[in-house]
Amino acid sequence: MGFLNNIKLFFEGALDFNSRATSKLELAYEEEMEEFMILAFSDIIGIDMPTTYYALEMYPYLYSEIGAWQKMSVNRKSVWEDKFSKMDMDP
Amino acid sequence: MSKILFFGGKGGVGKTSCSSAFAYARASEGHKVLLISTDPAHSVSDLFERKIGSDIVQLKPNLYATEINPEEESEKYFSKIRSSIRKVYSVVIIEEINKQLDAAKLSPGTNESALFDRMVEIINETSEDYDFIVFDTAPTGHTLRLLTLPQLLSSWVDVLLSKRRKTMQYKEMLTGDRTLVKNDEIIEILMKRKKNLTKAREILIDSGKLGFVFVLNAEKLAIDETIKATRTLKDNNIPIAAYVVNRLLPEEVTSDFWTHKKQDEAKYLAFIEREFKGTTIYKIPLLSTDMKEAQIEEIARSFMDE
Ligand SMILES: Nc1ncnc2c1ncn2[C@@H]1O[C@H](COP(=O)(O)OP(=O)(O)OP(=O)(O)O)[C@@H](O)[C@H]1O
Ligand SMILES: [Mg+2]
Repeated sequence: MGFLNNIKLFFEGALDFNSRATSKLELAYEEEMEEFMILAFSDIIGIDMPTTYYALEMYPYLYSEIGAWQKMSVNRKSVWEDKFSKMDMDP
Repeated sequence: MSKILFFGGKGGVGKTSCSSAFAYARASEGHKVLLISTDPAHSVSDLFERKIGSDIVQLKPNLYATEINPEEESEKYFSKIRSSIRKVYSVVIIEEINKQLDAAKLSPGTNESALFDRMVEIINETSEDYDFIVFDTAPTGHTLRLLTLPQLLSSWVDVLLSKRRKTMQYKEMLTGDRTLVKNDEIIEILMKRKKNLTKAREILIDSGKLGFVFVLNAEKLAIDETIKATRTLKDNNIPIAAYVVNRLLPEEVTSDFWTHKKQDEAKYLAFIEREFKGTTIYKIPLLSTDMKEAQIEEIARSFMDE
């Protein structure tokens, strides 16, 4: 029983390790992507910026990403607002 | 020395008349001048009694003019965006995107943004060709916003570029596709914008070509506002090239009424000269009729360097 448990733990750990490594990268990817979206298309979630017009030319290329982001952000609007206010504006 | 001058001031003080006369004066001295109207009322066309429009036309030897029509400019921008969609998406999605674009077009900032884009474009394309580029603008606050936009937009584009690059780098790691950063349309779009903004900033700010010209009348309220606006421009590092005191009463006034008026005016004029000492001050007479080309020619003399 002890042995089996250890095997199980080992695999879990290994699998967990793998998925965590991926998810860390994925998380970083999502984070950058979301911050980009907020800065470029904040008007969609109700924050108007003088840059709105200039972002429009990117809109067609990001159409599907924006759709997904928009769905997510409906539930998490306060999270975005929080993020927006804390965001580092230096590149 | 080549210059890019913005004539600003309160509604009706004489921005269109004075910027046109200034342009006229420099042109007759032999400088090549481009006069640009950003006024939706097309008053430069009215003044010169001919249709000017969005292409550059020649009015006189050395004097060229164009009118920026923000609606036309934003229409151009939107149709460029629309044509970029057609390459990528199915009909259903295209319709959806077009709906979004139509909504965005109605947003209140659209015209001002389109105006700014066209201004940057004209400055970048023509600054080498003219000795003077003279902008006739709408009231002051709006112009200040336009003049501070290059700074704001540049840092916005820089942050977006950095975030997009990182996003695509992560995606490269996730997918193993090493061409994502290189082929990204978004990075390309942002780089192009950055290039244009940087060039405009180099011309306007770094080479010191930008100057603001205040048009005012010799009245208490106008002076107070000009002092305030001067401070705002200085806070934003926008150099003031000159003040134009427009509509000065003629010397030979007869009735008591006009003599008093003239005395008040002299007092205000003295105040203006003290307050704005060190900067060029042009004094423009009040003419008996509204401005047409002949009157422009007449007040242009007040803009000639003695
Ligand atoms: N020195 C002057 N003598 C006589 N009339 C003048 C003088 N300066 C301006 N005007 C007249 O005053 C009116 C307003 O002038 P102008 O259109 O140049 O002002 P503006 O500041 O450009 O106005 P707006 O804010 O509406 O663009 C015009 O009818 C013009 O002919
Ligand atoms: Mg005008």
